[in-house]
Amino acid sequence: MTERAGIRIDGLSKHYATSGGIVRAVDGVTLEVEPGTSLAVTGPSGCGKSTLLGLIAGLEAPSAGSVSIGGRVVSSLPERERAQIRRDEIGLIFQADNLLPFLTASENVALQLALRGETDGYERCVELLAQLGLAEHVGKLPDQLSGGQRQRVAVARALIHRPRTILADEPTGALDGASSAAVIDLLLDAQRRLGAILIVVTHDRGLAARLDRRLVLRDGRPVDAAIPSAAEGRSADA
Amino acid sequence: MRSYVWRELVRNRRRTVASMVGVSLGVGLFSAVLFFIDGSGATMTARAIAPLALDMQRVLTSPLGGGLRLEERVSARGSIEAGQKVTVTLRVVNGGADPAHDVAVGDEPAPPLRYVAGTARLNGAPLSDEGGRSPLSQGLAGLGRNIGTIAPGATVTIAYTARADRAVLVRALRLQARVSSRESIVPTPANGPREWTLKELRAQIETIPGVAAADGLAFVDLPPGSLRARGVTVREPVRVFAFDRRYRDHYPSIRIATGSLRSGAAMLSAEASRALGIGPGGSVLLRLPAGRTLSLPISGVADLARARPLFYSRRSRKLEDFLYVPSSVIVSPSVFARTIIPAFRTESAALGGVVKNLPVEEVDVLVDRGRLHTNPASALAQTQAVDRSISRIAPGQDYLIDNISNTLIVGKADAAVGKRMFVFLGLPAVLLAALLAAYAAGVLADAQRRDQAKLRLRGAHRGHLLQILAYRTLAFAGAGAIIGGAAGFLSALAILGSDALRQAAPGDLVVSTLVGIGGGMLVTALALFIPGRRSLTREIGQERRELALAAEPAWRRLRIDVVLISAALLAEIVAVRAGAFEARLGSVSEGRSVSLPSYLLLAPLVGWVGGVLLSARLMLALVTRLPVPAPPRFGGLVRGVVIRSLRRRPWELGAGIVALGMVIAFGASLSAFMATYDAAKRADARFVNGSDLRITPGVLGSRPYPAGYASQLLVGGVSGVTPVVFRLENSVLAGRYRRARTDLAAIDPVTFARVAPLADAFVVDRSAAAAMKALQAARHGLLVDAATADDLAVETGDRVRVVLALGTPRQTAATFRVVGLFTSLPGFARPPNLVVKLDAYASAAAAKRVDFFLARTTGHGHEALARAVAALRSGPGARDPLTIESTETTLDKDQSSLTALNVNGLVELGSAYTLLMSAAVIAIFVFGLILHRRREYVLLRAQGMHTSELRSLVLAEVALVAAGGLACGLLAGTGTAFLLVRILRPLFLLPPIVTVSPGALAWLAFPAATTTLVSALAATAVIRRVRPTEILRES
Repeated sequence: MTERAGIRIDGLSKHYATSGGIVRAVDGVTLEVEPGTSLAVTGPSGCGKSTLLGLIAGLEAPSAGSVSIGGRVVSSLPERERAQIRRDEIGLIFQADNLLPFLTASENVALQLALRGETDGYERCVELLAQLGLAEHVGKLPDQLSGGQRQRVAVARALIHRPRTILADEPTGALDGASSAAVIDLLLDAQRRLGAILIVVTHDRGLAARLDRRLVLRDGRPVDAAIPSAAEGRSADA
Repeated sequence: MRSYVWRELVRNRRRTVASMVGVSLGVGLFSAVLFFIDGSGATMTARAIAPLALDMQRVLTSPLGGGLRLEERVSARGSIEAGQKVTVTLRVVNGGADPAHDVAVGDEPAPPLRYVAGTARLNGAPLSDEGGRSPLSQGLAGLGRNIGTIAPGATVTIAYTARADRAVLVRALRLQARVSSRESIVPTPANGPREWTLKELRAQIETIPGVAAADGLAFVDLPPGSLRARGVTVREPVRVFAFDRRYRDHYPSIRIATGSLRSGAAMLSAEASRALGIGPGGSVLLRLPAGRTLSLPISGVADLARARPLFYSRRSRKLEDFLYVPSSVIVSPSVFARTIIPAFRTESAALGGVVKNLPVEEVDVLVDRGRLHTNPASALAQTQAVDRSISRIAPGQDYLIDNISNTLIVGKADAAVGKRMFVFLGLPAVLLAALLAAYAAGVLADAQRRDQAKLRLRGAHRGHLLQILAYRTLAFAGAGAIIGGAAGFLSALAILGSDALRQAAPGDLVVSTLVGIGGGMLVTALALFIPGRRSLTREIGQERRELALAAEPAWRRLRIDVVLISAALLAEIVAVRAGAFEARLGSVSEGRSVSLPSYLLLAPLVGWVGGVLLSARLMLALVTRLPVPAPPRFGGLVRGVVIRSLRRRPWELGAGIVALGMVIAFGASLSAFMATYDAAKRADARFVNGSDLRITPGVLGSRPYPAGYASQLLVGGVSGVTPVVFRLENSVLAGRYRRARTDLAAIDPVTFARVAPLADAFVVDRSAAAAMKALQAARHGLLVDAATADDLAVETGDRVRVVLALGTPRQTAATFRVVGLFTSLPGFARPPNLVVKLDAYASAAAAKRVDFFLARTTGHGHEALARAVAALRSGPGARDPLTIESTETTLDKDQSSLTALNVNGLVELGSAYTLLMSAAVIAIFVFGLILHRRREYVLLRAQGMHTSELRSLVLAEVALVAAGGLACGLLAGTGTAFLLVRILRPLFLLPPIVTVSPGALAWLAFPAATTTLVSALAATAVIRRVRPTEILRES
């Protein structure tokens, strides 16, 4: 892996001051993720998985440590440049579909292109949605789609600009088994096709097992260095 | 539960403030209006009675009467049986010093007594019956018997027998005998108190609580030629007044120019002094009836030209007409009693003697105005109590003209109308309070829904949630209403000043406080509770769907806007058909107040709500037609997102547009109303004054003022002057079938048209300019007031005879041709009957003197008036005594006191609250937008939207709400102002024209625009602070 192409997380921490004292949501995480590989982040609820994802995406500024994407230290960049990285290089998927309710399926996807200044990428959006089995639904508003369909639109939105990094926070958390499998297939397929990094926060062991490596967090700290899923699977079998 | 609600309110400070600010502002405005009513009402009594010349006049009905009394007795005691005969005895006593002539005694036996024919005796001698009836009740009219002259101190006894038709108690008999004489022509009832003298009456009235002063006044009109000095005779009618120094002290409009009021001497009016060429030190000779004369030394000269108590008409139909008699003489009361009254008595006693003008004797009563209640209704009760006390003194001998009570009756009605008008102007405030409360509740629904869901998860059931809602509602409405009530009081205090509120009755203030806070609390509590309760009963899924893409509001589905607008239009049509908008001025002299039907006041209210809703409907219909870039284009980032958001969920913005529109419409209507009201008042003042300035040469001037004097009045700041001749009842117009005394004005049509504010509406069937042109063109042209023309059957084109300079030595008749009809004339609150050309009048009546001049200033406004007045005072005013009235000093006595109400203050109050409320609406809207859409905004940030783009997005939507609200508000507000102005038409002389002040409207838009910008910036700052990861994980 070259540093230029991957994600490097070094001593990353995020602390919050609350009335009950300091909460260490992420506490000293160090990690490297190579391009074209995938990583599952698991752990119990409240262990800091989503916060870690938010820090990688530059949605939040770390209390300590750094995040580098493609060789640039994202965590020290100003908000405007972090937003630029998100719109150009990162595809984000959340547990809730988070589609904009007043945009159709295709427009929700096209918005990601519009953010990059591409105002006429509509046909690409329609193609991608068709590839995801939504050809019939491109003109529908989110509340006219099922949960699975909405999540597939969210996946299309995350992939339409061919990001180098795909970050997914519990992407199948609200879906049934079949829909979950379909969404995971889509993500893995896209990751392979784009040669991108895929980081998925999940509780789903099965899903985690399908990714290259796995990072387990507890109280904001990695339980162990990120280990290959196969190895973890073997140790689990053992 | 209570502690949970308390913690929730404290923890969510922004939400608490957003919910309470609307309630506080709305209730604040409503309370302020109520306090304003109290404060304004507190000055209405003073305002109503300010123009009053005389509070009360106790007028003696028999000024020449000399102590003639009648006693009536029935012979029976206790009771009278049916069929029993009794003797009725009438004793007429002349207790005066002079004989009573043609004494007439009338009597009708009191039922059930019936006259027994042939039993009447006069001083024991039989009196013959007339047609079988009592000689004391002859003919259908029951006329009495003339018993001739009764010498001073003599007594005449008349007796007759009567039989009772049924049993009756003697004390129940209503005796009806009355006596009159040639000196005392008004019949006096029997057994009345002895006749009181003016002095006795005055002394008695002065003791009545509430009476500040009671002064005797006597006067009589003498025919032309009655006043002479040094061989010069005044060839005009002369009025002789009698009053003492106290009277003059109480009525300062009687101005003494030189000398003083002395017993046994006379003062002359300035005009009489000039006509006779005599002053203090000289003497005059008064020719009195019965061939008597009175020579008096002159002790001074008085300016009586503005002495309203002396010259206000005593005729009931023209109580407030100032019937000025230029040649007047003032004598002492003793001279009047000793010399003038006896002369008239002698004249009236002479066989065949006819006295056309009897002397008038009266006690003029000044009510203690300082003790009057500030509220006209309560003050009226006080003056009526004084009236009753005065009337109880020697009843039947004279009559009381209670001017102050008559005025207060009108003032009371005006106050009631004023209160209603203010309440209707304040009612929108309550609705706004409810609207803002409901709006805040609506925009906070999403946040509350989340809280409720959490509580449900923790085991709270519906009852708990309802209890929480009730406590929360109580807290918001209670605290908001109390803060609002306090704010209302303070703002009314700031505008009215502490004096006005201190004068208000404490009870009124307490009631206003209770109504303001209680009413505001109730209305806003309902506005908060009902939607909250509805939300609790609905399924969460259903509510979420509604929140996702704001559903069409009920008012739009039910077409409430169309219904309300139709109702307002219907009310308008009904009102037009019923003539409710036709000017019908209030008149104190006619005891008439302004009529302002309540249902008409509802029309603007209904139009306000309906207008805003309809405007919002139209506005959003336009928004939903905004062009969306068609695929394959998304369009520019911000534009593409904003247009799609607007098109597909317009009603989410609709609530904001409606709320802001309501506030702005309220402010705009008040602003337009105030501008119109001010313009109409200015136009009325200019109309009544005749022009910007009205210059009346004083009577103390040493020379006459002809029309040519106008050129001397053309000083700096004055652009035009026109002379006017006018006196009440100075002419007679002979109509087709009859003739009548008329008020004639002589004008110069050319300069009058330039100086006076003429309007086509004042002239019948032609333009005002054409009427002036016709008057100028005809040698003996005449304009006739339409009512007079109708009354005397005169039409345009008719040739009519007019007697000019009536009652003066220059009296003459001339033939005029009617060149047009008019309804109003500038310079005259009530139009003159006739208008002729000044030079035609001057040549016909050989009269060069004019009565006043109208002047137009070179500019408008206070400074232009002040400049012109200063130039006039330092120029011609330094040489001649000039009275200068301007549009600022004119007070039309017949105009309703409503027009003098501090409407400007009320509007200032409303405008201030409008500014705050519009800012609050936008702030609440933005706050609600952030709450409701924070996930969208965070998502856009997560997708890579820059803060500046996000700010543009928020700003675009808020700006649309602000612009939409402003547009809807201005549109509906102007319509509402139009309705308000039409309804208030009866308050003005001239039809008011809706005036919109762009500056005031811009001032309304300013806070909306500023708040939009500030709120959008604050919103993006808030969005930047939220934790995206938490928001985006929420399902």
